Amino acid sequence: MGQLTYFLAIGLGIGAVYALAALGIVTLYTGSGLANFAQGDLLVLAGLVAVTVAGAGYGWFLGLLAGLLATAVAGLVLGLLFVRPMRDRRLDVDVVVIGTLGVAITLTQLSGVWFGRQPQRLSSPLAGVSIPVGDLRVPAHYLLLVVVAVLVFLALRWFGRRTDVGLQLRAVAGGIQAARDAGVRVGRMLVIAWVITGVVGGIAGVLVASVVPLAPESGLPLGVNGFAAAIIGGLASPGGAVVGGLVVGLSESLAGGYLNDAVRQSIAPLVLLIVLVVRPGGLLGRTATARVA
Amino acid sequence: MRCPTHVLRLASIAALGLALAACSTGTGSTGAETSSSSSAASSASSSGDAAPTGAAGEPIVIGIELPLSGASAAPAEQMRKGFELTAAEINDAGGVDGRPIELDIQDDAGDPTTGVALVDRFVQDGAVAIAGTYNSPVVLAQSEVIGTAEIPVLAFAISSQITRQQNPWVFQTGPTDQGQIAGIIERFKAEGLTKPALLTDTSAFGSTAKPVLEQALNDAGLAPVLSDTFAVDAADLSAALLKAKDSGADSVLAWTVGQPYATLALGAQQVGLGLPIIGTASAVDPAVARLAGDAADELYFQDAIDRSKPQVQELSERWAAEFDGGQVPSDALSAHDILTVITESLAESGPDRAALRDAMEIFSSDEMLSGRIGSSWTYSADNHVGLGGGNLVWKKYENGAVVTVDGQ
Repeated sequence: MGQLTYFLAIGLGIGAVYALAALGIVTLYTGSGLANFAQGDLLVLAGLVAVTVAGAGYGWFLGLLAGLLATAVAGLVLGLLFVRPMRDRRLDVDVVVIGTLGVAITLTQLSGVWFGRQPQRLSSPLAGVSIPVGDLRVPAHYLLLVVVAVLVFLALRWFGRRTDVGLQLRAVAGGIQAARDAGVRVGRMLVIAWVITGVVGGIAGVLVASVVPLAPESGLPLGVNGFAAAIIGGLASPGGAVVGGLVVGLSESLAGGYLNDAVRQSIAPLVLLIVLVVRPGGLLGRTATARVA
Repeated sequence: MRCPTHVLRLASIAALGLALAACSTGTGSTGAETSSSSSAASSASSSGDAAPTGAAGEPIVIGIELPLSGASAAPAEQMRKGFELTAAEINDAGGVDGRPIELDIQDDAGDPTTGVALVDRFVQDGAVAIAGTYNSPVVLAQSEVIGTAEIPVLAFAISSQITRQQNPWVFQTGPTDQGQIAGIIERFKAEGLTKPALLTDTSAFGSTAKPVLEQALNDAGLAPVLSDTFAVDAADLSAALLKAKDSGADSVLAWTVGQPYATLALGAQQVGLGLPIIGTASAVDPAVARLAGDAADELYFQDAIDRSKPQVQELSERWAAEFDGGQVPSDALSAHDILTVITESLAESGPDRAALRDAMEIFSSDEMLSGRIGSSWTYSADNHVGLGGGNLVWKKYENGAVVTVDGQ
């Protein structure tokens, strides 16, 4: 029983990592209709900036602020870069999506130049604090990850439903021409969506850096797991991102604990495949059906 | 908000993205030239004009092949610095027979296909030898084309499968995995440890070593009570360590490269493992102490470097001066040895590939940086492994720092 509780706790913590990565992806998707393949690299950028600032003696909190600032600026630059083809011609969405892949590769290389290729970990504000589970110990930072993932979800949900900007972002994601006809300033909204994505990625990156040693190449696996979590939960649902992340994290932890690591590594794509077949819109996404004659 | 077909299309794009990213790592790296990116490199390339005793004339090109991107990028970067520092030192001292050496540094990204293509590139660029190749699967894939091109290769890769291929053009620094395993078995017996749990990573490095380790441990009467695998990029490895703890093992033998040892050490702390973790030589990676701190204190490993050697201390000072302090990494010292073997053999043979191969085959020195004091690198027609097993130094982490154990 103690071990089961331990694996569940570890799974929730790891799941929160995926959930945070997924929330950034879902944020941009619900705000612009874009899939961002550079999200994992934005996480890495924030994490490495925070490690650098904290390592220079400025402490964890300033590291967090610096990480957020870096990814917010990166989001702003990317928004300005991609806003024109998005604003002017709706058909260029797929081109922009592929463009984010180029951004991911570029960020990986730049991070290598700026921060070196050594994996780096950020000392957690809860370093050394652990929660006893029988004779096992769960690092308290895992609990922090879960709490922050839920808080970020609640903040995004409130922003999307209760603020004017949030509603306009959802209108843009629903259709650029329709949003424009309704008086929404599409270009501005697209840039705002990118900046929010950057900030969410920044929060995620700084917190994840205390669990996962980050190197420039870490962006790809983080992004892929984030996409898996987002698609499992429902690509247009922030709540789905959290649920998807936790499902993947728990599945991995239990598979690794009770089966073996080969199964653990296969579990995310397996769950993804099952969800795509059984519920294509994701666990919390809308499912549209059509009868094929 | 979106129809399912769009979700599926995005999933397809994700798969395409992954494929493109993988391709970009391989093809992009082929052209990645890095030999002029540090001050040491600048010194190497300009030494012919700058130093009165410096080398002059047409440079002798040596191909350096490293996984400068990908999972092994961090230690490979340390080797790159080591190669550049050594090249600058050799050129400042007059080069090889008065000719400067020029490093053609290329990134193979740990990819066998890229590695095979790089052999052709080095040959076309006029390199007299290829040095440094880090990943065993890359060397194994290159073997045929190396033999066809007849270019000598001194690889850092440790797989004994390379040794068994008996390619006359391929040399290894050593010790091979079997050499390291022999030292580990010796230590198990000396410490009275009889029930190891074996954990190997799922990379090519761990996968190729797993059957070799199992066979060697069985042959020594130390059959593993658990043999499990783990992913090098896993955020948490405590589940595997919990299995080891529950298996009744009296030690953990973990076979991976670099920073995963930090993740293992942190996982061991979480589950209260209380057993020694025996690692490969790459557990000396500075990232381990930085990431794991005191949690690494139960981690033991064999290191090729005896830092009490005067020549190691001398290079450490030069490294500190060139790279703003810090301890010279073991990988950089190995790079120094590799270039020393090639340039000293070149001094005997001249810049001819076949003659160089013959000269390397009779190379012997007890002045190398790697190995215990008194150990020697000796190649022969029957032995293309420079440093044999049993010449390594046992070390462990103590309060986050590497210390030598057993008074070695």
